[in-house]
Amino acid sequence: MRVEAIGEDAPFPFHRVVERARHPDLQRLEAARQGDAVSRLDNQVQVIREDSEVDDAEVSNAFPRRVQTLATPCSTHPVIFEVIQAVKQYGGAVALGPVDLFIDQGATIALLGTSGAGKSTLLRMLNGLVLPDAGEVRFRGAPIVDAPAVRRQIGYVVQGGGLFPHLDAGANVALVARYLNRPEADIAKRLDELCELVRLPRTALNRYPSQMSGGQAQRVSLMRALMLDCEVLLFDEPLGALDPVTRFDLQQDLRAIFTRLRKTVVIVTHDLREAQALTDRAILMRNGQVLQDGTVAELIRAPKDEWAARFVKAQS
Amino acid sequence: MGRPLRESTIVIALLLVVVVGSKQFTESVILGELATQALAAQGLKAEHKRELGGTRLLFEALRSGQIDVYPEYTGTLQQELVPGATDLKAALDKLGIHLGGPLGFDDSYAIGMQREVAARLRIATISDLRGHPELQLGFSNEFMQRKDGWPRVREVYGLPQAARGLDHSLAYGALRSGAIAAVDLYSTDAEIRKNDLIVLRDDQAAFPRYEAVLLSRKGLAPEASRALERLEGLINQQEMIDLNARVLIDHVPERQAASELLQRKLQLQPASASDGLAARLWKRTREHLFLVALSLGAAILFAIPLGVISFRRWRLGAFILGATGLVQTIPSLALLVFMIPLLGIGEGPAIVALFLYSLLPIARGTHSGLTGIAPELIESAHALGLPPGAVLRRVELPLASRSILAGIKTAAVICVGTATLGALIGAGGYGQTILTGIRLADTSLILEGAIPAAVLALVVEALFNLLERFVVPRGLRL
Repeated sequence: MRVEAIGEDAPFPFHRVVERARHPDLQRLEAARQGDAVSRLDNQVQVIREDSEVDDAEVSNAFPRRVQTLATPCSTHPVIFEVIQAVKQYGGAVALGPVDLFIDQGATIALLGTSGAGKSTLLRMLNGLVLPDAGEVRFRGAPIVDAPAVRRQIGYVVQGGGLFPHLDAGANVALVARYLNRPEADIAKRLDELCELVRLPRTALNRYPSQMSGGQAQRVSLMRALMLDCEVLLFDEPLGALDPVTRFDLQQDLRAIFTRLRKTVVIVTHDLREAQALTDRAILMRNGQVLQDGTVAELIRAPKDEWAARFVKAQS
Repeated sequence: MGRPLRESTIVIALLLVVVVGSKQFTESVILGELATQALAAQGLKAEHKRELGGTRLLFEALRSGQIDVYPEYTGTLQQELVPGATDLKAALDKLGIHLGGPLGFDDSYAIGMQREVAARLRIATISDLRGHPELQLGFSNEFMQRKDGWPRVREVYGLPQAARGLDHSLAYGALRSGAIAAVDLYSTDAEIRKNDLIVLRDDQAAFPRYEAVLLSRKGLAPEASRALERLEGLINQQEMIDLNARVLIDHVPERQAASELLQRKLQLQPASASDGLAARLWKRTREHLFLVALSLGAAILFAIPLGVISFRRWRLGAFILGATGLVQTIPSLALLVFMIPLLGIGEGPAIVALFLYSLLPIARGTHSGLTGIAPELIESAHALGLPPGAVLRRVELPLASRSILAGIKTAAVICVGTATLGALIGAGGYGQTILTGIRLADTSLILEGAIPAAVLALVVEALFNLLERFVVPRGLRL
C-alpha cells in the first residue's frame, strides 16, 4: 500500500493527505479502518509515512510541535466536511453507516436514494442536528458539535422551506441577524442583495408565508439560509413539493445561484435529473450506506450493481 | 389609592383591629354585628368577617388568632368543641379562649304551638302536653331521629302522643290548618313571631341548653373585653326572636337590626347607614377582581414555564399535567377547606386555591400549543443557529400563543366563577352577597351577587378575545 509521506516539510495539509490516502480505492479505506489512522486522527498528531505506521509514542517523540501544528485545522482548508465511520441508530436499528464521506470546498453534491436510505440523516449530521452514535463528523477540521454558532455558518433549508408562519418574509429572513443585533441598515442592504439574487420582488417581503406561492416560499427560505453569508448550503428536497413549471424555473435559478456564489452545496433528492441539473457529484445511498460515489453521468453509464441500475432505469 | 396598598395596610393593622367572626346563619351574623358595633362604639377598630363557615372553622380561626371574637352556644361547646368538659370556662381557658357570660337567651330545641290554641287548652309547658293525648305532633325528621330530640322529650315527660315526621317547611302550614298542634323549632326562630307561636317551657330540662355566649381570644385589649361585657345579659329570648324576624321577615340588614337594639338598650350611636347598591357593588367588584387578578397573574407566571418544561421532557410533563389535573378534580369547597389549616382564612387561601385551579388550563394550553408546532419549523429554527432560549422566545412561544391565550382565558373564566366560593372563608367578593342572599332566602340579593359574577365572566372573555389581536402574531390570524 502506497501512502504519501509528509514530514516536517509536508507538501500538503494533513487532512488532504489522509483523504488521498483513502479515497482511491476501497481496499485502502478498509485498511485505514482496520488500522489506527482514524483514531490517531483524533489526536491530530498522526503522520502517515511511506509504508509504515507510527504509533502515538513515536509520533510525539519524532514530530513534536511543527507537525502537530500542520495537522491542526486551518480555515483555508479545502476539505470542508469529513464524515468518518459515522453511524446513527434509531431505537436499535441502524439508520446510517458506517459512512465515510469527504466534501471539498465549493463542491456541489447530491445525496441520492430512495426513502429511508439515510440521506436526510447524513445531511443533518453535517450541521449537527443529528450527532453520530459512533465515528465522527468534522467541519473545517474540527469535530462538529450541537452548537448554534456552528449552524450559523451552515445554511439549511428543510423540505417545504420551513418558513415561520407568524413572521412575514422579511422577518423570516432577518430573524437570526436581528437576534444577533446586526444594524438594521445592514439588514436592509442585505435583504436587497438577496432579493435581487433569488429574483424575489422587494414587495413580497411584507407577505406572510400563508400568502405566498410554493416557489416564492422556497426562494424566501433560500434567502433566509443565505442571510449570514454562510459558506455551505444544505437542502432537503429543495424542489420536492412544487408543481412542474415552478420546479423547472426554480431549478434554473438555483443552478445559476450556486454557480455565482461558489458555495459548497449538498442537496438531498431522489430525483436523478434534479441531481444532474444542480450538482456535479452524486452519491447514491442505500440502506444507510454509500453505494456509489461519482458523477450523475457515471451513475447512468455504469451503475455499480443491479439495484443501482434499477434506480437509474426507473427515472429514465 | 390602589387596592394593593389597602391590602398591605390591613395586614399591618391586623394586630390593632379586633376581628369578629360569625357563622353562616342569621342569628350568628346579628350577634357578630352586635359585637362589632359594641367594639366600634368603644372607639376600637373592629371588622366583621361575616358568614365565615361552620363551627369548627370559626373555633380554629379563633384559636389561631385569625379572628378575635365570635358568638357560640354552650351546647355546641359541650357537645362538639370541648366534649366531656365539666368546667367549660376552665377547659376553654387552657385553649387560650375566654368564655364570656351568657348574652341572655338560649337557642335550643323547643316545641311550639299556636298562641291561641295553647291558650285555649291551657298549655304553657311541655309537661302540660301529657294531659292532651289527642293532640297531633308533627316534627322534622331530624328532630324525630336525634337522641336529644323527640326520643328524649318523650322519655323525660312520658308523653302519650305518637309524633309524625314531616318536612319543616310544611310544618307551619299544617299547624295553621290544625292538622297538627305542635312543632319542633329553635327557641329563637323568626317563625315564632311570624306565625304567632308560643314556645312551651322545658320545665323538666329535657333539651340541652344552648345559651348564646361570646368567645374571645385571651389577651384581647381590656377596653375590647369591656365593650363585649356590656352585651352580657342584654338580649332576652323575645328580643332575639324579634332581631331574627327583623332580618328574615322584614328584610332589614343585620347591621341595622343590631344598631336598633344597641340604640334602644345601651343608647349607643347608630352605626353608619349601610352602603347603597352602587357602593356595595363597587366594593364587591374590587374584592372579586383582586382575587382573580392576583391568582391568575401568579398562575400565568408559573404555569407557562410548567407547560414548556412538560413539552421539553415528556416524562416530567406527564407528571406535571397529571398533578395539575388532579388538583382540578378536588372539589373547590374541599380545596378551600384544606387551605384553612395552612393559610387560615381570608384572601390568602382563596388566592392559593384559585391559583392552583388556574394551573392546569394554562399549562395544558402551553403544552398543546407547543406540541402542535410542525416539527420542521422547530428544526428550521435550530438549523438557523438560534440558541434554545431564542427558539423558545422567537419561534415556539409566538407559534403557541393562540393556544396559551386560550388556556389563560379558560383559567380566568373558571377563576371568576370559583372566586364566588371564596366568601365561604372570608375572602369577600360577589360570593359574599350570594351567600347572604342564600341565608336570607333573598332572591334579589342572590342576583345582586350572581349577575355581576356572570357579567364579569363575560367581560373577561371579551377582553381576552380583544387581547388575542395584540398577543397572537398577525401571520397566525390570516
